[in-house]
Amino acid sequence: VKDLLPEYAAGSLPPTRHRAVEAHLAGCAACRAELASWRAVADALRADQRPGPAGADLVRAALSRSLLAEPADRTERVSRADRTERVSRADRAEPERGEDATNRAVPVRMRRRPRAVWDLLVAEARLVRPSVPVVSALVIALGLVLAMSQRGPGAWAGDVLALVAPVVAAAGIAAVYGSGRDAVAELTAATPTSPRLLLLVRVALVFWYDVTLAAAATGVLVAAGADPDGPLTLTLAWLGPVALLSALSVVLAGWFGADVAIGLTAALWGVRVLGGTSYVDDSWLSRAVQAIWSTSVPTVVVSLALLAVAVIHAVRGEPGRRLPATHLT
Amino acid sequence: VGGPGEDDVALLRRVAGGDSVALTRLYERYAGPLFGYLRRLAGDDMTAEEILQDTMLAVWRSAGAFAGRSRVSTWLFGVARRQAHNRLRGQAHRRLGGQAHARGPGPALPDQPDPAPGPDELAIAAAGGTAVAAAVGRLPDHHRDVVALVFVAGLPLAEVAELLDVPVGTVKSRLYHARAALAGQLTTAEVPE
Repeated sequence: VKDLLPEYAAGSLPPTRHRAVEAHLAGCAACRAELASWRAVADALRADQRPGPAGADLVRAALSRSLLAEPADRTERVSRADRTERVSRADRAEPERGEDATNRAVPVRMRRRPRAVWDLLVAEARLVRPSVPVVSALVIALGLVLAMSQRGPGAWAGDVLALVAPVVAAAGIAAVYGSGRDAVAELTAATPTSPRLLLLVRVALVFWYDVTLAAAATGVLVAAGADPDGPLTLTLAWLGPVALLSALSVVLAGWFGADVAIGLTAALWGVRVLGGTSYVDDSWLSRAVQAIWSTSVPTVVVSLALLAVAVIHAVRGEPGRRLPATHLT
Repeated sequence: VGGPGEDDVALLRRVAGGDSVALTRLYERYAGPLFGYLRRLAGDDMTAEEILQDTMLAVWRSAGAFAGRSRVSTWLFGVARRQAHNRLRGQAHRRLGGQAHARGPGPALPDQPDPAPGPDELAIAAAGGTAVAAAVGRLPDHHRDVVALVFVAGLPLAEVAELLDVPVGTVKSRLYHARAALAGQLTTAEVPE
């Protein structure tokens, strides 16, 4: 009974035990004296008690602090924010559950990685204006019709396709990522996803689409027997130029905007097309131009290097302009 | 103290679901004991109210992690206790010019009772606090914690033991020690029966 006296004085015993202690106290002077000393402590502290702050005020203050503290976490990428929130939850308030929560968070993050890349591809595909794939397909189709009509001893069909495909790809890529061309530029500038990643995803999407178109056109040519060359030779005729001109287009679009990129790549390609005609003498220069616009290891390397330059250059800035109008320091 | 246990769990579940009204209800249910407990730990009302906000914010964020292994009251006072330690550790660190850091984890406030009343206790006394209350403020941390949990928070000894992660016997011995330390003040400040 003696051990129950502090709780009895504090009033925290369950009712049945409280009554039992009460009954005992009536007949035990030692326990009454003991209780008096506990009562003195309890009463002194009770006399010093203050009512707590009003509930609505306190909760409002606490939650508004939560809103103020949150943005730092929210600007992180989804998976990282999710993890930090879980860890900090476990860490801040719940001592015993800490390890559980941390262990649970790791597989969640692993599971989300490939899924996030796929979601990004789908989301970006929706942002590509419908005119880009439609016009690309129409021009390739036009080139195919032109190529199919070339029926003679010369058999130019493959060459016509190789001349059309690169300029379609370059124009499509320039239209997809240039300053002022992005319908949701303000929104994407505000998302936590890196602009470099966005550029890569969009270029990959359009490049993949244009290569598929050109490959399909090549398949039609081979099936129709319009060109004596095999599918591999026909593909190599456009693959290198498509890659190089697209990479050039990405760089130019990033630096000068889509209009300049389309104009310049078209002009460069025009020079290449001229180089193959009888208007230009068969000099070392025209031969060099032909060598540049071919499917070869140097072409691929230069294309990748140009793409890397464009990706590195694609940093977050104010949408629609290269230099920020305001300096936030 | 507190309502029926099941209602607390239901309230906490609603808090986990983002219901701020439930958070207010839960707070109001424990406002007096929580604030009183934190006043004992913090020493002044302003700091206690800040820790109270910390506590409700932590409850808001981690309500979903409540596993139901302990009573809601035990969990709630455990959260408050941790928040108090977090904030008071920082203050002690600043006050002692970094010396508190060398004490390592755990209660970082000085463990020895101050012989003289400090500014906090004087402030309490000035605000109408009793001499015993001021003496409680001078108890070593782990004794003051137990006294506050038993007499201010009104938790049963078993819950206090669970919260502090010590045997019930340790809780009792700390209580007896605290009472012995307070004995001087208790006789002079005897309350009329």
